[in-house]
Amino acid sequence: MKKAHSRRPAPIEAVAPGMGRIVPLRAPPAGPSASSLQPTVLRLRSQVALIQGYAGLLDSLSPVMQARIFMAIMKTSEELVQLLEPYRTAAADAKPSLHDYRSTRMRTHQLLAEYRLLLTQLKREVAGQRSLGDALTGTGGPHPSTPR
Amino acid sequence: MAMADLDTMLAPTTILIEGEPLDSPYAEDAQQWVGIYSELVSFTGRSLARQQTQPYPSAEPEWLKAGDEAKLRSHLDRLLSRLEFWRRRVHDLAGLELDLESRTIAYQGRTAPLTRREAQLFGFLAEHPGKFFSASQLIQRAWHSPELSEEELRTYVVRLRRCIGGLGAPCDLVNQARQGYALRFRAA
Repeated sequence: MKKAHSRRPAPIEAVAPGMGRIVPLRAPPAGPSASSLQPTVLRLRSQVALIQGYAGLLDSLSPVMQARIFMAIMKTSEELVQLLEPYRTAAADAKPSLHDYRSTRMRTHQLLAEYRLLLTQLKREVAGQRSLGDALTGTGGPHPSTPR
Repeated sequence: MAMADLDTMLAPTTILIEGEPLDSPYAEDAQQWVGIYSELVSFTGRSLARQQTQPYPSAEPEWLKAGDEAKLRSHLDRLLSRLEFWRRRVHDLAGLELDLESRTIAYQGRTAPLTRREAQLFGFLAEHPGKFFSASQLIQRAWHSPELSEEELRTYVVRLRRCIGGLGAPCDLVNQARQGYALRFRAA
């Protein structure tokens, strides 16, 4: 007869040594300091004001001239996006990666499988102990909870 | 009355761009708006020049081109007037006075003499506060003397820095790698 524990999944420590049962997710990167943000704030305000200024030129101009102004607005917007690029990257880094989610899910599945097997084994052992107790005390017969 | 004159009169109350702090007591704010209006003036000027030299697509009627020209001129007048306002504001708020005729610079009652080249250099940089210019740009645009070397420019920069520092004026002649030199105003 095959022992129940031989079918048990490898404990998480064996699958991912040193990881334990707590899945460590990467901490979000630390934000920039207030003083280092000051030039960015100034540049941001300037770029936004510049876009507003370009937009103020648009009224009553021909479509040809408006297209030229739109191109200038686009160029300034690109600079604005470039300025904010580190924050876009930081925002992406702040979210756990897909790999983190997958490894967490895999470990959760393994832990649950381990838990179910241990529970089954526990029930079996409790039932075995109960039968042994009954035999020793002579009460015999099936346990009240056992269906006839 | 010219549009520029009218705009100068209305300058303290007429906001051309939302968020423009016309009554800001800080030279740094004024410096920032000099940069913004310089860009707008440069763009509008270039557009006007291009509009006059480059033909529109044949489908565009002639009256549309003429209308654009008039509109751009009007915009340019207003923008130039506002740029001038902010340039004056930088100097007023910083408390600096540059006299190009007597070649002197004054701050809070203290006066320092400048050489012709120093006065030209300071005058040019003070007209574009916060904006960086390469050594060759400064030689061309501030001095109009392409025969002068970058080494000579550096000598004048050092002298000018000493002069500004001696007066205790709230501005710095800074230089940054690959960007060049700029005159930056700070809180007094």
